[in-house]
Amino acid sequence: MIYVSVGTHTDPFDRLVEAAGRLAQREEVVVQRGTSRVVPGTALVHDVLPPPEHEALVRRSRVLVCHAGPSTLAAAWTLGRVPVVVPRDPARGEHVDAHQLHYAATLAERAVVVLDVRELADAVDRAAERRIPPLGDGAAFAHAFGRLVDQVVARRR
Amino acid sequence: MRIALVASAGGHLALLLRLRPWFQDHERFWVVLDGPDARHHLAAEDAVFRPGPTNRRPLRALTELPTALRLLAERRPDVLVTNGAGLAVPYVLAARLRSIPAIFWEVPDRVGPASWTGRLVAPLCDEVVWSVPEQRAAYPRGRWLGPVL
Repeated sequence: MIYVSVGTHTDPFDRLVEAAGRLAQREEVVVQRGTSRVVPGTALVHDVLPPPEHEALVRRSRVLVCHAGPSTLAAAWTLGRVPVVVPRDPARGEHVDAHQLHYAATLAERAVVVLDVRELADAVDRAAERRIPPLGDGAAFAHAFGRLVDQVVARRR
Repeated sequence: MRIALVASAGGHLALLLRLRPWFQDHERFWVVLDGPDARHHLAAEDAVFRPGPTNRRPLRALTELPTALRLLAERRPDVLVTNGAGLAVPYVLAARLRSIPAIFWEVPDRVGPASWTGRLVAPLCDEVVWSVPEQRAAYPRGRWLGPVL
């Protein structure tokens, strides 16, 4: 099963949802489409899923296909999986600015980045073959952040 | 220590929750943009759910200011931590007006130009934290605390 998620951003991402429908002609596809307007009849389509169901679909899927949102990506990285990333393009009304395009350009080491959705099926196959060291829980960053907070609060006293 | 944690729903909130190994040992409250994921993730937390501002309604950043000022006066946090998006603007401004220190953490997916939120709030914050060292260009006075994701 391929899980395709457009994340929680409020602009539609019809280009990815349509491409997900084409993928569904060859294997099972589940889509979280957000505010996208298209309903590809071949895929199982949800609008927005509760977080536990979203996470369960990431785990159960063979490959995660998603927009360039770090939190969605982290769900795949935590499992040591390589996601397929389709950045939202502001020129197509998919986001307010180009930050997903900039971010996606930095992800080659741990994602398969797709700009032309006609290449999605091939990208899914390439992503399925790769594994990465699983992402940790970020505790080191959290504790460093806490030490900085302590310094900031102490300076003000 | 009492912490105010401020974030939009969705990815911003999900990232801020990664600071749990730190904030779990402190008294805290959340101010978040409302959304089903926020209601789920913060079900067991002390949270205030707000309707805006969003990138659709940026002017709510101003209309939210009275609420922000009142909340911070009532709750009196020792520090305010936010990673955006637009909701950070009224709350960092209110923190500044209430003499509460504030920290802005730029999210890892902002590697190009600074976000409009960051441009507005970074100058008002005591510290700016980068997610990736490349954010130095957008926020020269920021800090690198190690990898986030």
